[in-house]
Amino acid sequence: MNKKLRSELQAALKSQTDLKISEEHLMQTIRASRMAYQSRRQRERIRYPAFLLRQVRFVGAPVWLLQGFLLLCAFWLFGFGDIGTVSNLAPRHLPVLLGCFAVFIAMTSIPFIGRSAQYRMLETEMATRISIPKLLLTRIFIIGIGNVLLLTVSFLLASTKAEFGAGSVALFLLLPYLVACCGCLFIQAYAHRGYQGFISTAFCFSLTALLFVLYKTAPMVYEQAFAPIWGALCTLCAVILIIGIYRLLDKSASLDLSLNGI
Amino acid sequence: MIHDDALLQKIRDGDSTSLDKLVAFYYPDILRYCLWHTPNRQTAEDATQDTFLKTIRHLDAYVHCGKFRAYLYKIAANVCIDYSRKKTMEQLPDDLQEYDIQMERIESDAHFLWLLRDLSDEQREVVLLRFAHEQKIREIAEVIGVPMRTVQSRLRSALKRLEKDFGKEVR
Repeated sequence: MNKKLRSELQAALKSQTDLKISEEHLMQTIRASRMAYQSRRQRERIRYPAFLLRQVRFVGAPVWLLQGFLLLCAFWLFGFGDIGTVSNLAPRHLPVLLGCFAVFIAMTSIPFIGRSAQYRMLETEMATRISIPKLLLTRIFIIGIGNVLLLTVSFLLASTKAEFGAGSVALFLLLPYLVACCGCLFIQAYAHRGYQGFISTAFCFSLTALLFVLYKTAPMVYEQAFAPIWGALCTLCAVILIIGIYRLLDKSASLDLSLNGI
Repeated sequence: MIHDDALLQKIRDGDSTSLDKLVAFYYPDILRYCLWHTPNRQTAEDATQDTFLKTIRHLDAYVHCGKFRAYLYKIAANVCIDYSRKKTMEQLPDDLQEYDIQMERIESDAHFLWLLRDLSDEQREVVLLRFAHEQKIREIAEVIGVPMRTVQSRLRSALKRLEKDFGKEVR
């Protein structure tokens, strides 16, 4: 549209609403707003640490139980036993083992991140005094604590067994973990509600299969020479994950607004 | 010029005069928006007041990141939708008369406003927010809850349609 027509359109639209503001109504609105504000202040807000502790009962206990089970698996795989005695696994299989284990660590979050939608609890949770973004962030935090612990323990145990450096151990753990988290986050944000858990699980198992296929068909990617590429991909995935979490929280905030009836 | 950050912080600290300033500052814009989206002046004023009341009641949930205006417009949009759903049949004849009188005036002033009626609701909304309320694309995207590209696409197609129809009218 040419500039002249645009400016005519703008002028026409603005002149249409030549406002004659009723001072009486404006004052009435201001008085009503003040009263609404005063009555709002009577309610005491739950403090975030108290809310976080309450969520531990609902989310922390089950997810930490699951992560505890994985921790035992980590000790069994990388810790106590000689890795050569675990079935047909040998130290050279450690990279792909680490990657698959990291994906399973990421999978511990799947049942818990989308539970509000899964159990149709969104409306009820909205009746609480805290917002959905904070609730989601709390869940991510609770799950994250366990994941960080699991990754750290796996890293420490595997580093003692690995034939390659600690840096490589970290990369073989981190990249699959970050890719799994990014994928699950994307699915959480955009998949049809109710199918998110199933699709996330399928995605993670596919990722595990891909790691095996990669190990079988192109084992050179697990060599030291490819470490810079792993490092770069890790950085990229970390950035994508942060942006993904931000977007998920932002989207939840809009949902917050609409569910509040505002 | 009003600084939302400072005012919102003062309101949260309990300063009621800041609240009055905030309401007084945004009242004309919100009233203008509601006038476009409600059938008559009375309803527009009621919707405006409801918008501010809902905003104040949920102020604790609002995390300020420089988007208060868009937040307010979003609430106004939802309030107007609620009002349009509540509109009763008895009201229609009066509304139509007032609307027609308005439109007669508009038509004599500018073809554009008449041509707006031929746009889809989504396109009209975007045009109004952009040109009547001088909102940026990003703000419009937040108010109506769609991506920026969708806003740009709707605006582009609305303006093309208006230009085409305006051209036909002139001929």
